[in-house]
Amino acid sequence: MAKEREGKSFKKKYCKLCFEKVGFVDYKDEKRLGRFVTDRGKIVPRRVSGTCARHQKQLTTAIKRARVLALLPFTSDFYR
Amino acid sequence: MTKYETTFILDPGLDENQVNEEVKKAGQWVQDLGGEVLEVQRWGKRRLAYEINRRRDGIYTLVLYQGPGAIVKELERRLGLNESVLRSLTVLHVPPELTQPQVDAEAVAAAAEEADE
Repeated sequence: MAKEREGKSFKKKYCKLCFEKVGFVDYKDEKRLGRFVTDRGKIVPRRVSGTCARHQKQLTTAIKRARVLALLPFTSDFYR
Repeated sequence: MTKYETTFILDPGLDENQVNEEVKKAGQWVQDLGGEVLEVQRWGKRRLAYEINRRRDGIYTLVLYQGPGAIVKELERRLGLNESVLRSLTVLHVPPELTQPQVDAEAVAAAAEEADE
């Protein structure tokens, strides 16, 4: 997003969850959670994804819960 | 009375009758412990994100119930003792209307495209 740093023009990051007006991030919603996880299975930091504090907090709990239920990987098989 | 939801993963090797049996048993436990089952959601057989006890698939079931807090500990204990249950997770229930996005996906995609331009 902020890759194109020609002069002062780069794209402003915004919270995608606020944009979709998600009231509470659910651990069952693995498709949505999957967008906030790297291909290694790590949680994408706020400074990269642009998520707001409130949603990032909910995201981390939701992702961790989803991992317990094997909906999301702790780490991908490839790197194991 | 607090609402809880417990999701558990059953062994994929069980046949349908056994699965029904286990789900019924879990519901029965909740009632025995003084709770009330509000909803049972069956997600069916799904691929696990990682191996659990050498199983690559699992049969997911979600039980939504309300009752006293003590119920959770006992239910988790019983599920843990049950060998056909691979994993279980109990959390406080959040009403689904809160977890659903208020803006539908198409509108979001369209707006995102516009923002790109």
